[in-house]
Amino acid sequence: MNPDDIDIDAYVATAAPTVGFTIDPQYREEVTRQFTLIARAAALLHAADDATWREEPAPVFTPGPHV
Amino acid sequence: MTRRNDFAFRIAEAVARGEAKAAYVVEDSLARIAARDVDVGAFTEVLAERARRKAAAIDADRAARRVLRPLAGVPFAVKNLFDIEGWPTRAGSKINRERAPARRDGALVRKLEEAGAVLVGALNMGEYAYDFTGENAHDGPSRNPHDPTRMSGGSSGGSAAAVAAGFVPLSLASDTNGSIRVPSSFCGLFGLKPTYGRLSRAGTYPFVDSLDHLGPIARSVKDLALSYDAMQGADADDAACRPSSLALTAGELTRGADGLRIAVADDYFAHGGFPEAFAAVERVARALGAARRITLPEAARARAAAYLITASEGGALHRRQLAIRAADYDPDTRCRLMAGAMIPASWINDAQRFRRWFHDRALEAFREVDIIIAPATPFAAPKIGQKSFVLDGVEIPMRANIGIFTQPISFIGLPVVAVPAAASGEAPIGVQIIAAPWREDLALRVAFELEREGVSQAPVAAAFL
Repeated sequence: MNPDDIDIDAYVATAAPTVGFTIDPQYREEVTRQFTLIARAAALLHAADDATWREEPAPVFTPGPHV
Repeated sequence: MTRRNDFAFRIAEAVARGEAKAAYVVEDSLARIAARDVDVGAFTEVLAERARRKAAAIDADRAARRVLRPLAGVPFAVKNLFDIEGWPTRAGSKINRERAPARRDGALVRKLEEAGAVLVGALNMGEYAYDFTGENAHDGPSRNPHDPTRMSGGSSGGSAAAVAAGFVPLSLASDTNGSIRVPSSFCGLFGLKPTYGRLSRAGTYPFVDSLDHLGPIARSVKDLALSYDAMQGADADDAACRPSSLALTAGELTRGADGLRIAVADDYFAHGGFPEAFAAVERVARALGAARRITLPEAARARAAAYLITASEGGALHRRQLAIRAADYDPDTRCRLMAGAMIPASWINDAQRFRRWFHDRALEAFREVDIIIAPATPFAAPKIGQKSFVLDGVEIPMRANIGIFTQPISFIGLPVVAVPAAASGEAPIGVQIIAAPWREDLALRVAFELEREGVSQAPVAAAFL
């Protein structure tokens, strides 16, 4: 899913039940605002000038620290 | 004889020599907490009887001429996400107060007590550690002892406030994106965030398992080193804790910074802050003779990736509770966790790939230098409740942006000592002394050099002397 193309209102409305909760209407606006910030961060990563990081191996289980 | 506002190592020396009784030191700490914590809000539990029993046992050992441990009689307190036997581990929340009491102390609490230190209480924190401010809707804010109208920093706000107020000389804290380094900066203290995997996290309430670190906050580098040395060691109860030999540091401090290649981080780390943040970096660089500049490429994207992983792992941890008890969360935490729980897996997969790439770039930089200096926070402590700040004419949200300089570093698990570096008479602000993985010793040596030269000092706040 491309973070630049996502319809955030629609996504938030449909995604919450798939992960096990419904969003009370009083929280909807703030959850949408927070997800907008998340999508911006994902878009920044997506648009990296140096994309060689995409050639890194997919995250795999390693028994121990990542560094 | 009491040891009011003394460093931990001096207290331990005095107790070992028989110049001070552990019981007196602990009573003095308890008395100050009782008298003045109302002004700070650092403590959520005070463990007076437990502390008195431990202190009495230390004094009995001394009377029997048994050899005392390196932190004998040193009062300390822990962020309330550490397990304490007999108490629910609240992690700054309302919900966790209903948990069963912990059956034993967290691993690092046990190690510090085995080294002779005396636990006196549990400390206020941002809910579930998702915080840079030190504010908490359930317990109230932990206030900055240097100016109680200002933030202590978070999420380990109580851990810094308790030390800056002189209630204890040493505290334990956690750091996922900056939660040791930010409060250390705002409260003018030394804080150590070790390499990811160095210290056991067993017996603590998690936030983001792949980013969580634990470490000490203190008013002297020697106190950091002594406590860090006492807490090292593999632990099968934490899958991330690396089985490695001890790398003791306290005896190495006096080697100072001689021979170390030190550079100032430029590019991303030279923008986005107020003048006092960069003035502090230059003050430290001048003292160390560090003229060189170095770039950690794509640090802004590293922060973005850390933000995604934090939101996703944190949201996943709380997903079930959010479904049934959303109203019981701190309003500043709840909706961020909800949004994080819905992040598509492909975005996290990208963030993890980027993490590996950025880690390799950092290792390349550390082939050129031994130490990298960067700001700890973009400004000194803001007012409690402040929601935004203006930089270069642009209004920027406060809460998420306090950690802009810390997040890219903890993202790849590098060890950091936060050192106080404000100009004389100015509000506290800190600088990050960053080393290559597993080289806490180098960061501590540089911090000690700055302390020895008088560039970095961490006095008890004047109103609490």
